[in-house]
Amino acid sequence: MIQGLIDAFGPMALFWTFVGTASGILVGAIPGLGGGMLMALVLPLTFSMQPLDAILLLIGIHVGSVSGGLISATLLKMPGTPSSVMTTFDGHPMAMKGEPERALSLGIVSSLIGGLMAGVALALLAPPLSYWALKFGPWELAALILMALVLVAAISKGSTLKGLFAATLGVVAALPGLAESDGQLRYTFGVDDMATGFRLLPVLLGVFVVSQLLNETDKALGKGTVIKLGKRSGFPTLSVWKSYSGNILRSSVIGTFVGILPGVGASISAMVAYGIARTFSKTPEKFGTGHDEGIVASETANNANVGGAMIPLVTLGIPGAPVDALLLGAMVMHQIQPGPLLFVTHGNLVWAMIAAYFISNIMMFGIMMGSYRKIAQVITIPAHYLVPVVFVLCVIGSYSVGNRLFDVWVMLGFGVLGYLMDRARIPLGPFVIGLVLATPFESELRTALQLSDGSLLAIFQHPMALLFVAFAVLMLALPMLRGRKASAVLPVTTKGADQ
Amino acid sequence: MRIELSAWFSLGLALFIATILFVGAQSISPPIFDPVGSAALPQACAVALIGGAMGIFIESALRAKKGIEAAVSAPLRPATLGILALMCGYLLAMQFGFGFLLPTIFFTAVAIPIVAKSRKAVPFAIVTALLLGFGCQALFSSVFFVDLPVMK
Repeated sequence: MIQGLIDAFGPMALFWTFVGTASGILVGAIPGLGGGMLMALVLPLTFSMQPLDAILLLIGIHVGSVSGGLISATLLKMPGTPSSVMTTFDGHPMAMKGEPERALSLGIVSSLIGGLMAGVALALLAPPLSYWALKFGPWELAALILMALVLVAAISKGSTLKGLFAATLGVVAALPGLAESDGQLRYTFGVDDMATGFRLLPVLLGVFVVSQLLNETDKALGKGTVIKLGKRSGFPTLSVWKSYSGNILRSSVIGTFVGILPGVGASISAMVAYGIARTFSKTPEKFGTGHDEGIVASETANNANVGGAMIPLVTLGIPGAPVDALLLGAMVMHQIQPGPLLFVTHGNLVWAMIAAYFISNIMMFGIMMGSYRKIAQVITIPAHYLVPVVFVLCVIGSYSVGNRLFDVWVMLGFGVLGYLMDRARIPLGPFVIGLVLATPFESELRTALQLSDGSLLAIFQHPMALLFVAFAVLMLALPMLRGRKASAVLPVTTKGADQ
Repeated sequence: MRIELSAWFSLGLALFIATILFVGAQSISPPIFDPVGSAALPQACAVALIGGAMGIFIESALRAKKGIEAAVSAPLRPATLGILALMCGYLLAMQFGFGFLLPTIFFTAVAIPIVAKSRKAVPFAIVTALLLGFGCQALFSSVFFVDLPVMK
């Protein structure tokens, strides 16, 4: 543990954490770009880096990008990242009332507190959870991954069926190539390049970045008008913060808890926290008109989500959010296998990651408080410059994985698939989680079945595995039952029912 | 009764992929050491995909029957199709040995005015394209040591 903390405070580690946080804030602030996009683009550049530096850079990007979205949400009324959508509701009206500095200060401090509180949860919960998970055998691990997949599908945006469909598509995308369990080639169709299957990075670049570029072309976002910032700081007094302590604590807990649930991103955390803050508020009617409490709830929860999502990642090897699948992919690319054994095999690295998460949050606070006026000047890059430039970077990133154009075609193919899925309102989050978890799921399930001579009934000898499966079934059944109840009281005409 | 386009898309995609999965599973050797084999998961996925797509289709049909309006996606801009074609052309140019530099410059110079839907963007597009092409070539070849495609 001590060595991990020392590693995180090394000059190079601090440098990469700072670079990640600063670039994450900038990219998060630019509408149309996002942390996932930057992480996918940066991944190939980390091949030559030390694993610790690479992972700290990505953690910095993750923390920075979730926070950076606040600036454009407040000043442009365009959330830089989906996690800042709820901030738009109160941040922008407050800025329009002539208090943009106050809106930004509230958001930045709330982000810091939410991030740090989730960090405490990460540091306290991860070690015991990891040691508990060490007792898991193949049955438990297979059931746990199945539960994660079902959970992702059940609570993702849109219908549960579409979530499940997307998760299955993700599993299918991981099938071609060499089967890990017995070394058999599958679905190569005589193409030599297919022997390695679809490599993770081109698929992630396609789904996360290229599909988004096509979406941006569709929207053809114009150059927004930035609200001018004055010279005053607008920093709320201590008594104001004291009055919001309950909101902050509640939103931090919500953000962290929602983050722990596999596949649920920061945007859901912010929505839930905002909704609950409104319910508990003495002045709910002020929400949406530039109310402090709305900004505090949204920004505290979306930053807390980042730390919460790291808990299942480092302890179970299950990404807490779609963006965490990139972090998981980066760890695998650097020969680090996330999961229960991570604390045993790479204990120093895990503690360095946890420390870097705290450092990144503090850096985020410093960078954003010190430079939000400067960032506000560069957030209106028009989409027509972003689309070709980012696509060229994607091409280089995909090509660099194996020096072959096949991977670049794979990226484009998955980009088009992601774009079509998005248009059909099939969520992309479960797809990415399915893609990342397919190989360990198949491997664990086949090992489990080998141990039980092919009998699925052997799961009854593993209560924990049975509990995971039961939870998965419950997760599947609940939204369907709720949907049936809701449809019974639904008005005849509902626009956007599919969303 | 109008079934959503997304339901048709899901069904078509599921049938297409499931067919590939079932056909491909025939050429996978039967298991030797383990009772499941490498064809089991693909076959299970094929069934799940068809089941899921059928579910989405039925869900959509039930909504249509109840008179609930289908969610309509934003119209597809011709610029998006143009950019997609340009992306394919860019990759094809590299595939046919034109290297990295020239296709990148051409792609960027053409893509910016298409997305901007303005001819006024052409001069800026050319400058951006030259900067991006030569900049990336220098940066990735000399700093990050990525062997970018070369002209044959």
